[in-house]
Amino acid sequence: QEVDMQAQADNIRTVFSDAKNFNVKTPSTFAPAGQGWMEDIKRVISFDSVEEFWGLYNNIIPPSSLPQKANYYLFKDNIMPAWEDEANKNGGKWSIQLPKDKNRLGVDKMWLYTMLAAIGETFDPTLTSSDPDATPQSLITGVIVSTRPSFYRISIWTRVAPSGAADDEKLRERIEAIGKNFKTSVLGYPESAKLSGPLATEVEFMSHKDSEKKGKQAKKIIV
Amino acid sequence: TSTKTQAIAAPLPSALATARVIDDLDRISYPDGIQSPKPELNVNAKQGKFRYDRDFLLQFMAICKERPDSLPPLDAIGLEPSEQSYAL
Repeated sequence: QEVDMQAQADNIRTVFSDAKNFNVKTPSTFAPAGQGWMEDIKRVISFDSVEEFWGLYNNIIPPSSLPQKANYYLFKDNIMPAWEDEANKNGGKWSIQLPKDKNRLGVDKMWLYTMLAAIGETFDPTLTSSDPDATPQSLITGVIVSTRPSFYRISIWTRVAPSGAADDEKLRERIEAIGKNFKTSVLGYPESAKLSGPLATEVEFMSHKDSEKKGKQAKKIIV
Repeated sequence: TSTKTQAIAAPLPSALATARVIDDLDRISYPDGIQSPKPELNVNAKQGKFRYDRDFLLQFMAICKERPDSLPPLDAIGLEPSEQSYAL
């Protein structure tokens, strides 16, 4: 077995070496603000490491056990889960609605994988480009699961939304790549699957500005 | 002195509270059977802004089970059958 001399010299112990007395933790940027929180949303906890995320996950109920109308929010970098937040106001969301009766067993895994893609920053393939000059900002601000009497909804919020103009094509492609990743790698559907049906939608993107225009024809991207 | 008495009486801080954040993934060696984060996800990662694949993250599930000190009891935050929201 190869011994890492440097690690030994630093006496680095991950949680895998010593679950009780580890001395390094795995950073994560999910740390909601402690102030200015909204009245109807209760801040449960903030965390800055993968280890703390799992401590939380292992001690709260999954979406399938939530009350009939509830939401879990997981937002990062002190971003509030509201359109009004500076990081969200020009953005939009990918979402999927799933009928409850057919997805009670599947929703917990879908939500877990959604959170892990958010924490791991793997939704956006552009971020992992091997071009050393490309250091784009992450487009994801947070993820939400909602329970309603007859369906679940899982959403991914983004910082920006494509305008539809021709010069916005690059951003549209990047947003679409996030949606495709969500549909296939995270939710586990084939890329070509048609998902809409009674109480179900496709994986759809809409800007927050369009979502506000209720009744009017809103532009959607579907993958 | 009273300071000394306090120091003795204080509970031991948990490892989570005292562990420092990893700033260089290359210096971490994981035990046999534990896989590191996929290196291709972190070719241009900035310090402390790492990306982790799902398989790496799932390895923590069975180990990190301790209830966080700061997690309030769920019934105390009104986990009842009505419109409720919880930020993680």
